[in-house]
Amino acid sequence: MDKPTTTAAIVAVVTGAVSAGAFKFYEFILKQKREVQQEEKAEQTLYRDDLIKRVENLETERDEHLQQIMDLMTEMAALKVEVGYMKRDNEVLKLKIDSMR
Amino acid sequence: MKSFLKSYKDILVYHDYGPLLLFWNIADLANNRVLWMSYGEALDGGNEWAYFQYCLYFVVALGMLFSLPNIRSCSRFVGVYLMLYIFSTTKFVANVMADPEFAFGDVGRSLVVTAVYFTLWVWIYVKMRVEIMHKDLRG
Repeated sequence: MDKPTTTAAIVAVVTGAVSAGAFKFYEFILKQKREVQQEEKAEQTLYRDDLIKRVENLETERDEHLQQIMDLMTEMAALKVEVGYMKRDNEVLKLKIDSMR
Repeated sequence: MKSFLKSYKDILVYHDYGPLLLFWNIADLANNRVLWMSYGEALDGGNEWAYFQYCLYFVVALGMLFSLPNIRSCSRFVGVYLMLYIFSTTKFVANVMADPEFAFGDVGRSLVVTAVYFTLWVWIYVKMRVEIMHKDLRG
């Protein structure tokens, strides 16, 4: 091989090797960027999942409390009726005592 | 003016290389000296090495044309084409530097045209490689 051919071959091989290295480096940077993005996304997903869980718990608690309130209201209504009857009985007994005097 | 220049930058960054590569490849094949010159003629002119070089260009260009739907294989052919391009240009420059009588016509004009073509091939190659990288990263 003459000198220009050798020079050209060396230049071509070196350029090829350097550009291959540059592409590998760029690929490495792209991979790093992608990993950081995925980590951020995973963190966001974790936070969102935690929020969903908390909302579910709060809704369950709310339903339980609503049921308790309903039960209490029913009991209170029953007690009101009972108190009403007792008041009436009391009045009747008072009248009976007065008539016995 | 800024937006005008930006539109050129956008063309280079976002537009696809596929149709350009197809037409350029066909033009390159049709323009190859192997099709228009016999080995005997090259031998008579003392250009047998140049003829082999054109043969290599022809094979690589054919490979490029047939592997166009497969970006991975096509990028390899484009890479080899670029290496050939660098090799022949460097050889030309080295020959001109060693012997100024070597070149016929205007060397500067030839080099400017070569530089523009080289930029075109580099742009196509870079676009292909970046696309492959993004495909690999997406999995």
